[in-house]
Amino acid sequence: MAIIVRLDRMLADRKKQLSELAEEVGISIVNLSNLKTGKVKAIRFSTLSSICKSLDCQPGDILEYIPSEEEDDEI
Amino acid sequence: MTMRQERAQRTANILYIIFTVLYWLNIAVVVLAAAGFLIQFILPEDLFWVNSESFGFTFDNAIYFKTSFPDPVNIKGFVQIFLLWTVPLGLMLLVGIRYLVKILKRVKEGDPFCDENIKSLSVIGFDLIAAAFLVNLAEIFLMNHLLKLFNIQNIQMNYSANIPYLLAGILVLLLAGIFNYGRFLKSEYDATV
Repeated sequence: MAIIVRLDRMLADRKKQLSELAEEVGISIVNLSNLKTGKVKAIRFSTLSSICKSLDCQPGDILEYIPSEEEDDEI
Repeated sequence: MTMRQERAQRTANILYIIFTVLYWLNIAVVVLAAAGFLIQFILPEDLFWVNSESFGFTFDNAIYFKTSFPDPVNIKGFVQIFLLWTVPLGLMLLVGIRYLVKILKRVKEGDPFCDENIKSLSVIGFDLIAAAFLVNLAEIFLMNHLLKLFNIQNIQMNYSANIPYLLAGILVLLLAGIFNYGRFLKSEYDATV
């Protein structure tokens, strides 16, 4: 997918553990881990908003768009 | 788990028990019919000669024909056809109930929108469509034999598919398509955080 999740980078910047973030956001570590490794298809605005609030950042700090050939094929 | 889910699972559990009992009863009927077909070959011929002053039968559960045959009639051929048709029709019903039980089991376990349920629904749909053609064929065979046996004149039988079965089969196939879309939505929902 062309959207890359940079959650690990933000967690390292804020010196936070995944478990801590999971607790603050209110979703399971498994789901958060899936998000971090890019295994999910979509993210709710409410989840994104909670993550941004917890990490004190913008959605753009977590999500990054990288054009890929795969995506061109899909379109 | 929501209350609606709990209710659906409870209903599925009750239906699962009922249809499991029906499934085993159906197996017993098929086995008995197959055994009966084989056994009738070794039974003495005297058993198949019957006579009655009043005998009734129906083609469609609406019109009831009454006849009498004071002279003895041999019903062995009718018994053979009846038992012979009971086996394939029973097997078709068995397939339908088996896949229905499978679906109910998965609903009971809280996983209605899975790939297996879609396959099961498709099998039931095709089973019903096949039954729509075979059930009436069996009736024609049986009733034609009865007409000849009792020498009943002026009744003509025409073959046509069983429309309610056919519609039910098409409906179940449509339902399988809807379930397929439900499975897609569930996978999307599961992959969303």
